[in-house]
Amino acid sequence: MQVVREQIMRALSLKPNSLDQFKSRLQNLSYTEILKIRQSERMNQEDFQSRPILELREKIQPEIMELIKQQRLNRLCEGTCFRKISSRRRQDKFWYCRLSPNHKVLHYGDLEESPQGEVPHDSLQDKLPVADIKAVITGKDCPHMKEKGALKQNKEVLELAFSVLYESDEYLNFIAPDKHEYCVWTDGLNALLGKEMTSDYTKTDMDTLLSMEMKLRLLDLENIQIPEAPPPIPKEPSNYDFVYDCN
Amino acid sequence: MRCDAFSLNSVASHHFLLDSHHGLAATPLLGPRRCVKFVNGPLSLLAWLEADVKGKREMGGKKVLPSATLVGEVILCPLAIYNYDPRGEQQLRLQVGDTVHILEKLEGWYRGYTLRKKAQKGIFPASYIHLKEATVEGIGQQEIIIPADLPLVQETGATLREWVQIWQKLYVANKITLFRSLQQMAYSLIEYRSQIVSGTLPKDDLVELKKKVAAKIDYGNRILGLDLVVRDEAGNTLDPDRTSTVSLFRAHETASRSVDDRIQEEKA
Repeated sequence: MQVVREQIMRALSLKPNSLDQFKSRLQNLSYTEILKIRQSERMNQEDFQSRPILELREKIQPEIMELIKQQRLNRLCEGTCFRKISSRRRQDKFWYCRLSPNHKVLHYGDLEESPQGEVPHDSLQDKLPVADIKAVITGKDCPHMKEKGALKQNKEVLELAFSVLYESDEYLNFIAPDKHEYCVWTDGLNALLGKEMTSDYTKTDMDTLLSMEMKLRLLDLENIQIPEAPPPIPKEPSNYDFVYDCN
Repeated sequence: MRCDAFSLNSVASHHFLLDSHHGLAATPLLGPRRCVKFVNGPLSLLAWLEADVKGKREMGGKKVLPSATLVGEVILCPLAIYNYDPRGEQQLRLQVGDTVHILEKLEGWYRGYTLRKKAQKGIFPASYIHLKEATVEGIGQQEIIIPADLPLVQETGATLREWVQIWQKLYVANKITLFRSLQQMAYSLIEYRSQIVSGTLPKDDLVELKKKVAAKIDYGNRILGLDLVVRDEAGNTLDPDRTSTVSLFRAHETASRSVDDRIQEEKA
């Protein structure tokens, strides 16, 4: 019956001008059509702007951001192999960088060839204490991007470049292998500095995680009307001796 | 939380309200006196009713006839429909969508706790809670179908909660492939559950969908290394207390085999 009612309501809302038009609209809204429409409405339910839902979203957002931060830092601890693009030599060199498990030190070192898996930190010669890091710089502001040469012409490389400033004028320069790594590393480094993570991937990850969490919280509320305004709050009970109410 | 298959066969005419978690039950009285009870699902309702029926038999009380009628109003699954910020020490914080367990009620307030934080008890306004009512009627062995509260729907909800926790851990540990598969399965389950709960499916579609849901839950639990729930052909969970060992074993074998087949399919 609900479906029949919905079919009639929807057909009417299209404002047919005659009974024939009404009939033809009804026919278009077959049972399967209604199911499809409901399904797409359900998918978009979180765009639903009711106040308590928005409040809940805001409440959960920081918790999700924490998950993203942990993921980024875990990735940094696994480490990544980077390329050193040299304008002079023809061959690229490789180097590896990873964060220590206690998040206090960045270990890095040159490699002879591209590694198959993770490289343990004892085989990496150099280290940089995280506490010495002053800032993270990206794109064309990076010192290795300001150098003259073929590098500057390559826009792709520009988008993958980032540097870590330590002491007052020392830089550790990176060129990420792809956009994903670029985002993971810049987010991770910003997180280590206590700054906000601002990459595109943070936004998409946030959307994915947040929307699943919201769907889960609101699972049982599907057919229930959420009030526009907060419901009235009764005055405080006269005593706190709650008992079963059997009347 | 695992659900049991159920059927209704009990007696007593009353409105009742019960929190089975604490086993606080006022004795249902035959006759005009009424109590309102909160139940956290049809299972707890039935468990309570059955205990009640058994109790009566044992006490040699009024004879329970299997064909007696149960009529009553049950309020299932109370939910918070708005965020509530506590304004005093005794008050509980509510987030919209929270399932609450109500222990007591007084002057427009309830006292209880949320499923999210069971250890913390406090009071909250009744106006912030939606009470889904269902009228339960049954004669003898007839099953009552309340679509929103089918045991399978409850099980799907519980499975989803478990899976999403694991899913978040997979994200943090960067297990991308499993993360993505689980995401797809969770979305499918959410969609199927919505369809069942909408109450708009014709009976055949409902039966088919229930089977799909059961299969998906089993497959997901298997690849996550979680326990396999044993079911009958319709997807209803079997009660180990009531099913013979041989049937249980056969059902388990069948379920295991179909999950294996599915895994092979996915690999191919």
